[in-house]
Parts: sequence; structure tokens; C-alpha cells
Amino acid sequence: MSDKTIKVDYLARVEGEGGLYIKVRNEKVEEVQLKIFEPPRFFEAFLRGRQFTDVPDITARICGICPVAYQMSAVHAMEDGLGVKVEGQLRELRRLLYCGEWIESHTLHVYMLHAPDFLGYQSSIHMAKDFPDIVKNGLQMKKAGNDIVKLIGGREIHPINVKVGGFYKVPTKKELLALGEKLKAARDTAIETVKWVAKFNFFDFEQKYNYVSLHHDQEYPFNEGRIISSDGLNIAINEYDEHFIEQHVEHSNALHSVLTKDRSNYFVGPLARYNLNFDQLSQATKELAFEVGLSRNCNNPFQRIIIRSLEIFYAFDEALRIIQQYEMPEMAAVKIEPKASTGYGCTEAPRGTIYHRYQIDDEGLILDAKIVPPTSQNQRTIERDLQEFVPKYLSMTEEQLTWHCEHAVRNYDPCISCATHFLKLTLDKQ
Amino acid sequence: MSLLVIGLGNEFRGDDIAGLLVVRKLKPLFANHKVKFYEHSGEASFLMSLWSETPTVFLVDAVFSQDPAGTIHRFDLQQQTLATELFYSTHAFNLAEAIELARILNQLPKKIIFYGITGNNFQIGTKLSAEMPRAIDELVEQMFEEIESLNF
Repeated sequence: MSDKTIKVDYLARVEGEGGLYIKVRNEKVEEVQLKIFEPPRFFEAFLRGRQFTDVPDITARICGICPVAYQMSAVHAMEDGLGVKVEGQLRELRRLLYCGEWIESHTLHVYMLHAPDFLGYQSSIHMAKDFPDIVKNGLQMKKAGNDIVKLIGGREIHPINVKVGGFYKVPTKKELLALGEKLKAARDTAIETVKWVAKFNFFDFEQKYNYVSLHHDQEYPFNEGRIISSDGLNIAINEYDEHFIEQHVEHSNALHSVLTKDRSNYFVGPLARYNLNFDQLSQATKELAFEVGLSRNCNNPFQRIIIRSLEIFYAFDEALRIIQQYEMPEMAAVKIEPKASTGYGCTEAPRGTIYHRYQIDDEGLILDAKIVPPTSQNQRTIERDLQEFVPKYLSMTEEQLTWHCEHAVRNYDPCISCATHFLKLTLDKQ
Repeated sequence: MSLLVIGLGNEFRGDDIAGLLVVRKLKPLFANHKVKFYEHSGEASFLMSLWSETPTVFLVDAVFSQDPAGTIHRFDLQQQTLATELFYSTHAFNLAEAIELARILNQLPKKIIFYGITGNNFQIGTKLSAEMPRAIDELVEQMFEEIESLNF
């Protein structure tokens, strides 16, 4: 089986529509294409001419899985341009909202989309027949994440309570304390989840990556910080466009984001955050990581399910911290007046760094918008992973190899709908 | 809550709005009844928690099928399964999977009925197909009669 073609027409258990094509000749991988054929949706174009205040509600519609990430990057970008700082309890509530989204999104991926890969099931439905209680655990945690987003964001999907400057309405202390009681039990389940996934069998596949994520000295990054990388980059968010560039490739409707200086690929998401921000995790999260055998660095993309589970636990921990110290603010939002400006925002979506840039005029009308989602930043790295992975396992049957290639893609929890700007696999081997 | 009607869809994707429109037309007809209505984008794990404490649930959504646009389908989900291919969803975990997962976990409501309307166009930013308004009105009438007969 020296030459082959791995072809997956539609990748399963990923968000959105895409495929995979791998061409192998003489035991060498000649070509890997992550094909994203979900049509472009032109969000950046139809933001033009809208009021700056519309941006959180419109961008939330880009994704049903990570709308908060779009809202947060959007409002921070607008506030950056307008010289406004949202602080105190409003800032904490934004972190709490993000905790809810991380819990929702990560739990969906760990239990419903990724765990079946490790346990040899076609889907979570098949897995649930043998592990009903475990799947129920996942659903319990997912519901806890939903509860956070519903209370702070107004509803579970596409939240409606986020505005430039803060929120339309803030919760009472009593409401948050009631939410905290629901989160405590789910936090215990999150510990069990980390211990469960850490026992999975993982491919021996350590890679050297250039990780990129936000970094904040005082906290694990959600909404603020500088953009840093394992290769030494350390820039302010408004310098993003100088260091990263999007490129069109024929096989993808999503632009590939690469480093401007050498057009090289980089890596965003839970593994990048963990490796670049370990010190900022809560003490309980660090101890749990060590307890399950991780060190402060992890370079095996297949072990990302453990990191993702640790981030679920961290999000519960952080949510409970915020709830415990909460005092209802007098104002739900900072008053904002428009002025001609350009603003930059970068936050950490569950899948990785998400960048927004907006230019508005004196009336607050949006003149230009740029949005770079995490999956478009990881596409090139996904293809590189497969170029390294496939040659090591060419002795597998085509069916096995195809399965594991899909698994390798799902490590990234790609959100094709967001990036379309995912999977169908073709392994071409002759 | 004893009876819940959940309309599913995305109002920005052409015919995918059909389930939402059915719920919007049904709701005023049950103003004095113990019937609750909910509109949702279809994220499956949330739907499972939404219906977990309700014994009778009706779901309505636009579907893909080989039938002409506007064709109405009815499934008793305690007796039948839904084919994943019926749904237009960019989500990795769809309604059909949620139904089957709930069935395995014994979390399916005692009575759960699914109504689908075959759609023709699910592209973002497009309008309802010409065949859909009449089908929506027919389905509203059909669901009204079925829910009425349950005496809630």
C-alpha cells in the first residue's frame, strides 16, 4: 500500500461542511488539502454601513457554537477605537459569559464529537449505548454552560444581552448565587471528565508548533492581553495586521492565515493557551493537570482532549470565583458616543484566538470590518499535522487510516461555518 | 409545563425559517391554554434539556427530502426514528442525533411528535420559497387540531 488516496467527502462530527484530500506516492505524502466548501457568508461586507452598536448582535450570528467569542472580540474592538474601558463587575461578567461558552463548546466537543474517536465508536449515540452515565455527565455539564450563557447573555444561543460598553441588563447577586449552586455539582463532574479522558490511548505524535494566543499576566486569557507566541512574538492587539496575513488557496473557501514574515503556519486554541499561559491557570487546575500526568507543556495534538477538559474545569472554577465576589453594578453599561476611529479586538474563542478590526465614522457607521476566526488560522497547521501523521501509519488499512486522519482533524475542533470563510476525505495513493 | 411546542430553524436561511413561522402562527391560537411555545436554532443538547421535564412535545422544522417543497411530514418519535439526512444543519450534533441519544438515555418525552416541511432553499440571506406559505398555513391548521384534541 505504498500509493494511496485518502478521500473523505464530508467530514463527520465537525461544525460546518468540508472535506479532506491526501495524495500519497511512493510512501510519501505529496499533497494534503483541507477542503472547506461551505460557501462564504460575507459578514464583513454586510457589516459595512451598519451602526457600530449593531456589531455584537450581527457577529453573534456567525456561529451557533461560539457566538460569545464573536461578540466579545467585536465589543472590545469597538471600545478600543472609542477609547472606552469596561472595568469592574462588568468586566467580570464578560469573563463569566465566556466561561459559559467555553463550557458549552468544549463539553460538546469532548463528549459528543471527540471521545467516540478514542473509544472506537462512530458517534456519541453508539457510545451512549455502552456508557450512558458518562454521556449524561457530559449533558449535565453542557447544561451548566447553557445556564451561564442564558443568565448573562439573555439566551443560550446567539445571546442578545451584550452591547458595546457592557450589557443591556445585569443579573442580581441572588440570581448569580443561585447559578453558582448549579455550577458546583457540574464542577465535580468536570474533575471526573479530566480523569476519564486522561486514560484514553493517544498516538505518539509530539510536534514542534508555533503556538499563538493572548497572554495576560494576571489571568488565563479570555478578553484581554497581548498576543504572544512560542517563537517570541509579543505584540499589542493593534499590531496584529502587521504580523499575520490571510491567503487564498484554491481548495478552501476559508482564507489561510499565516505569519507575514515567512508565510509560516501557526497554532491557536486550547493547546496554545495551555503552553503559553500555564502559570495563569487556577491552582486547582494546575494540580489536576499534574495529577493526571501532564506537565506544564503538552505538544501532542491528540492529547488536546485532556487540555480541553482542563479548560472546562478551569471555566467552572473561574465562574465560581466571579460569582462569589460579585456585587451588582449600578450601571449595566458605560455610555459611549461614536467618533471616527479604528479599533482592534482579540479574544480567546474555545477554538482559539479570534481577531476583529473595525473602522467607523463620526456617526458610528461601520466603514470597514475584518474578522479572522480560529479555524482559518489553524487550517495550514492541520494540513501539516496530516503530512507528518500519514507516513507513520501507512501500514494501516485504508479504512483505519481514513478514520485516524479524521480524528487528527477533529483534534482541532474545527468550526468550518466560522472559518468560511469542513469534512469530505480523499486519500489518493497509487 | 405539560405541553411544549418547539419551532426550529434559522430565520436567515431561506426555508429554514418555516418551523419558526409555524410556532409564531400557532401561539396566538392557544393564548388561554397550558401550551408553551419556544423558538430555537436547533442546538441538540439544549433541546434535550428543554424537553426533559415535559411529557408532551411537538417539534416542527424545515427538512430536506425528495418530495416537492411544501410537503408535510409527521413522525411519532416514540415509534419512529428520524433520518439524519432530513436536516439541514451546519451543526455537528443535530436533532435526529439528539432524538436517538435521548431514546438511549431514556430521556425522550412520553409523547413526542415531529412535524417537518420539505424546504427547497436553505442558503443564507434568501427568502422563503413560493411553495412554503401555503404549506405553513396547512401545518398550523393540522397541528392546531391535533393539539386541541389533547385537551390541554
